[in-house]
Amino acid sequence: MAYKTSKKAQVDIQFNWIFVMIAGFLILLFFIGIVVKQKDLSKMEISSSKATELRGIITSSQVSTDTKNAIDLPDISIEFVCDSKDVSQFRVQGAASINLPTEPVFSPDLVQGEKIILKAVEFSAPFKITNLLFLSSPDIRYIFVFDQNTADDFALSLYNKMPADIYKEKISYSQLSNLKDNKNYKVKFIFFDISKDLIPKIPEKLDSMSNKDISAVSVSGTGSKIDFFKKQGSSFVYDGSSFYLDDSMIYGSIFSESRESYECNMRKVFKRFAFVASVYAERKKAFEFGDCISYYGDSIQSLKEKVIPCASDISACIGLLPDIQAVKANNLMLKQKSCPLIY
Amino acid sequence: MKNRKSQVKMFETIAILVIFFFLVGIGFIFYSKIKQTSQSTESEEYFSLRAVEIAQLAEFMPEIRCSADIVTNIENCVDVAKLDAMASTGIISQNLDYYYNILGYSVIYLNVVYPDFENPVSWVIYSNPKPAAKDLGKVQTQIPVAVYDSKENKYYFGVLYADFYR
Repeated sequence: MAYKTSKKAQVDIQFNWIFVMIAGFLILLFFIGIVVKQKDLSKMEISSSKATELRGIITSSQVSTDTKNAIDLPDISIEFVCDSKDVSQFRVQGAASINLPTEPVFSPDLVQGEKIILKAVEFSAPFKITNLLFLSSPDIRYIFVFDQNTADDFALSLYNKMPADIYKEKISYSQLSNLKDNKNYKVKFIFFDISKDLIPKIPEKLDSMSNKDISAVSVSGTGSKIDFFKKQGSSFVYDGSSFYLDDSMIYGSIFSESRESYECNMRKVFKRFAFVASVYAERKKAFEFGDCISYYGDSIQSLKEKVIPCASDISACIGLLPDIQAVKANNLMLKQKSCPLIY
Repeated sequence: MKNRKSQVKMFETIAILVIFFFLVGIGFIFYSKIKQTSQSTESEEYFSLRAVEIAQLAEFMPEIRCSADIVTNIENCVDVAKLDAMASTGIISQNLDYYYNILGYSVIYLNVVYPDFENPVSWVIYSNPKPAAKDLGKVQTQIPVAVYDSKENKYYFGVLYADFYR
């Protein structure tokens, strides 16, 4: 018996398999597309949630004082900007920028690593104005350079009060040239009473770091001056001076990326200062009667008038300390005379 | 008789694919509805959180808060002399743009509830409600505070209201 072979079945089966493979491939592609899209959406959600969390912490730092926080950063970075045009914002990678028009946040321009460290400290002059928020990463290295043999209490005190989770170290000038590179993405040097002409060179092993990743400040322990320096090649180049009124402002300069960022945040502080001083100046008038009237003076009025121009140019407030101390002294005298206080 | 077997098989395959994608479509609609609901819940939570934040920011404003040198042992304290000073200088109303960055669209006011004065004692600290055309409702947060009158050296009991607009 001879069988008639039919090619129809062969074609049919082959076509079926081709059809199955094409359809299967398209369906697989479809689901892979969904998974990839979902992954991107999840990343955006995480970034958004971190941005909201950080925004909430910055807001709450204006309420509580002397608080410390740490936020986990799952493989994302945060950029901070505060410039000479008073544009102040932060942006979590993958999320939209969030403005910080009134909150003084002293931070490097880029924060990355496993977590970020935040510390809020009250700024008073002499009454409470606002809280300053210092923000950094454990992957940023802060090097305090001072002669430890001469028991520099000022420098040591500043070093000891740095937040615990911050990567800090103290070295003497003789150890500076042998400093090792510990692969930190940013390094900040803090010098004390070093004039801008005598600033040491950058340690050789850190030479290869990018110019924007190394910076320095020199804090005057006797006056109120802070000099800022940035890296250029293997040397530090002077980047201008500013001033401080108390330790919290010194920390502001240490945590800030640059003088521009420091002064931008301080302008926010002085703007608030002007409003609060105005309230105290007006408030004092309610108590100027009876036996106490002669004790009030015009220290608070004088302070208020001197602070107002600082909101646009903080150099106008370089000599503010005596006025602050005058208000403090005035208040103390009122306390001794059992009169209502200025603050 | 023509053999329509292969045609039937083809239709069968196509029908399976159609039903498959129909089920996937239903799954997507279900998923997006759930996502929408959870986003709406998150949005409500965020709004409530923001309302509490605004109330706390108002309570802790150095422009109204009792100075630590004057009142040393009371946390939630508002100074009458500062409230009067703010009202007379118009510090906040003249700098609404600045304080909007802190307090947003909200109305913050304080009422003294004890002792019961003959004329109600209250201060409007900040008033910046949303324009009526954009008003989507508000949430009110109330914070009990001590109200200190440094002239009389007396404490009263008050409530700080913060109406935060969506």
